[in-house]
Amino acid sequence: MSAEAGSSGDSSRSSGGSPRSFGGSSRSFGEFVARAHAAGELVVQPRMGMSSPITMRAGLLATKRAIATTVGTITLDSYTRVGDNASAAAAVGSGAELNGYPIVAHDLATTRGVLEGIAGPEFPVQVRHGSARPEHIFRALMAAGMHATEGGPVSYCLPYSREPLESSISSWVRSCALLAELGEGGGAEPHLETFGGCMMGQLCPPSLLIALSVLECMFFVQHGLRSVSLSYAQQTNADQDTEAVLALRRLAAERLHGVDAHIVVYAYMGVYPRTPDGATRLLTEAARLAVRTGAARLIVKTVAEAYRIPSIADNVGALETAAAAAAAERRGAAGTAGTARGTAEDTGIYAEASALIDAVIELGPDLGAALAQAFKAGYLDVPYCLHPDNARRARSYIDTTGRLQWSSIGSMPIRPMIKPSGAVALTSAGLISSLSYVERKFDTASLGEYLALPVRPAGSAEPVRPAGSAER
Amino acid sequence: MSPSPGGAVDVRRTASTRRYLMCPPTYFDVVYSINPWMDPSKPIDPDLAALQWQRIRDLYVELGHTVEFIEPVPGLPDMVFAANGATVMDGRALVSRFLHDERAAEAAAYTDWFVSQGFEVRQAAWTNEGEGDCLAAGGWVLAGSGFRTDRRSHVESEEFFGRPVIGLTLVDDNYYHLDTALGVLDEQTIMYYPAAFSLGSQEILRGLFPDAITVTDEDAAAFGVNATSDGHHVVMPAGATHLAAELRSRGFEPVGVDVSELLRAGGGVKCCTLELRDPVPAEPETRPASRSLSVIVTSVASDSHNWNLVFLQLHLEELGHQVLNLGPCVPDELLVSECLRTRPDLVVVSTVNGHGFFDGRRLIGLLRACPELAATRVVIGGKLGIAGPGGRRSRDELLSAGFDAVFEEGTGMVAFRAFTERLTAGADR
Repeated sequence: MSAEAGSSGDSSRSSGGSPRSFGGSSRSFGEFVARAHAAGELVVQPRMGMSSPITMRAGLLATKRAIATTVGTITLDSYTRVGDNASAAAAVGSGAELNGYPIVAHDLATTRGVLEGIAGPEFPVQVRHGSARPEHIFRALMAAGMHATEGGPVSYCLPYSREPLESSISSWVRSCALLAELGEGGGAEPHLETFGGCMMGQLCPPSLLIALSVLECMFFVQHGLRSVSLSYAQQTNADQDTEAVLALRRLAAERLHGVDAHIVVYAYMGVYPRTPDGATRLLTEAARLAVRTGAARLIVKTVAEAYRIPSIADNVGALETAAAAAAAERRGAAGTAGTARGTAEDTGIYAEASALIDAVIELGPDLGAALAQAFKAGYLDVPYCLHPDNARRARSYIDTTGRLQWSSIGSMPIRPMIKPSGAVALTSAGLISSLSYVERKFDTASLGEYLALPVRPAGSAEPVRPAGSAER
Repeated sequence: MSPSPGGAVDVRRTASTRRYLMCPPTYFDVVYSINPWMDPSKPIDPDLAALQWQRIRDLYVELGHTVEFIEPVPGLPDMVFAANGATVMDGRALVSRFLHDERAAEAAAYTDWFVSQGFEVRQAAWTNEGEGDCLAAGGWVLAGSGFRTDRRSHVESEEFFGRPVIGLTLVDDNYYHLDTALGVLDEQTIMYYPAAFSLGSQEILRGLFPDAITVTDEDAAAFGVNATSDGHHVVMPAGATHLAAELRSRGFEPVGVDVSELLRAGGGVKCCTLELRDPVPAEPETRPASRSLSVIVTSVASDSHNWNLVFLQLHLEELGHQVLNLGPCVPDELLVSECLRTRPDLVVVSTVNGHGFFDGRRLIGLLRACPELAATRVVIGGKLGIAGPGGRRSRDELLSAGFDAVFEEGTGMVAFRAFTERLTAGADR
């Protein structure tokens, strides 16, 4: 498994060749990704954000030069995220380090200087922020000549803020309108990615993740966007993830009409493995998931994730590892006559997600109002999310095969579809253990042998190893 | 023997009914020696052994427990020690893989039994001698190694049961299984023989169970800790007299039995008894002598972390308390107004973004400025500074600013639990 995963696989890198030569020039982020996808390349993207303009520029340049098909990222700091521009400006003034790029506090010329000669049709740059009220951020990025960003009225409100959901929704209505105006002048087509496929980073069952991804993109389209991407964050079980991304693709095709849309996979967003080997294997699995399911873009995590803010070199390493793993997976799939893509056992993720989406749509034609009402009624209920506007009745757990399951669905309209699980509500000790499930799975080398042994379900007795064969 | 810090208090212990698996001693004998207690040259009195085993079984029934039986297999003389056959939690059975060939075939019999009873069954991939080395306490699995169970199997137990495993190293071959050196009395209380453990494991046990009962050399040699407890009654060898007195002073009721003939194979009460822990309904165990507290769990305004707050809520609810969780990013004014509105017994401020020292100092001033909240219990914990635990000075400063207790990362949860227990027992007021 790890043979082709490491960054040492020179042969698998060579296909990276000249990643920007898809012919023609892209008008937008979405078009760049679509061209790469059509050419069989997975677009890989870092999460980087530095407070110093010089370092930020160096990070973008290194991303562009990585042996991979890349797009750039400017991740903002947390003061800018919450709208505390005074603190961000004070830090810029005093030269203090922030945990991201303060795009509002830096003047326009500074930000243009960061992008000059690097960002362009062949290297689009996206702004990532985490804000529940992002108008000031949208204005700043548009002024600097950028036109791609991400987030969402639910996904950037519930997990990370106390902002009332309704005020986040109205702010996102205004922000979408701002961004959509860009496209009306015949210039670059603005692009907006939903963060709905991440919710809390871990322990949210896939059906709710993909329902929120689809609903937020429908909201973006309702407010004028014509190029969007739907996200899904890698979870705890590769088969379940495959089924989920395929369901997300199907729902995107069914529910988003006449717009450019692609799927973006996030490498695992929870507690990350601490060993370089474990972290690399987890990223490799994410790249394979993306290729296997026909996703067009992957946002990577680095081997340094568990310890510190990753360096530029950490990021480049992760981008190249992911690109190599994607290339290897693609070659492998080509050898198996087309069966590798698009198959997964149906455990009901698509049906659950459809039911959740329908329940929201039936609340009225204004999707923003419908989303707010759906959370009030508990039709959407993010497990373990403590936001006052979340119903807080749904709970989930990791079953013995590593799949995320509901232990309580609260008022979500998926009752007839869930299988009786006989699950016990998660205890505090179980929570700690669940949060580190992926980290332990990938960090514990000795677990390889353990995982190879099938769990014997009750009632399907098979002989245990013959007496006396036990190892000493 | 330690004079228990909990003291000879009038703690009322509560029994809960158990389901046990036992194996009749039909083929019990000592024909080989796989531990220092076994001497094949000295004949066993099978009738006496059967009588002693029968007495344990009868006692369980008298105490209201359910006893299931597994059919003994000829040629497997140690199968009577059912505790070694598997570990069972939440309806999942991890069947043992024995170290010695002499016992290896027992695993097949136990596997068949658990499968036939509808358990989710797996046989351990590494050497693992069941409840002989794996004991449930405090939400953890206490797992022994050193003589029998392989440390690699601890990881396996953690995965299979989804509970954190506390690894403990045994160093004295007279106490070759964990259950010969440590006994679980209830979720919070254990008894153990320190000299059977490595120094590091002794330290772990002291840290996790500060109120544990430690036993004397004589009581350990009488297999005193190889006992079963239902939370109130402790079925144990009659010979462990010091231990019996200590248990009584802690509110338990020791019930002595003669296990002399079983001891000749290195087994005691616990060895004959495998607890079948069925999936328990979410309902938390009612805790003795406690009252339910109304608790506000909160973070500070600048901290958007969620999972620490979820963990604390679950933990407090499991202890039977009522929790109002204000979530992350709580503005100061909101916390003050919620405290004034609900008048909680306890306010728990948890923060992990490194600003807790400054945010906490400001917050406690605002709370204490309200006359209604001057005496409310308020504690703070988590990662309070950006550079790891802040040490005595910052702790003292938070205390003098008005917090009732400060729990920093590391041993904080153990101390926090002890604090809430004192509160519920009313001893703190």
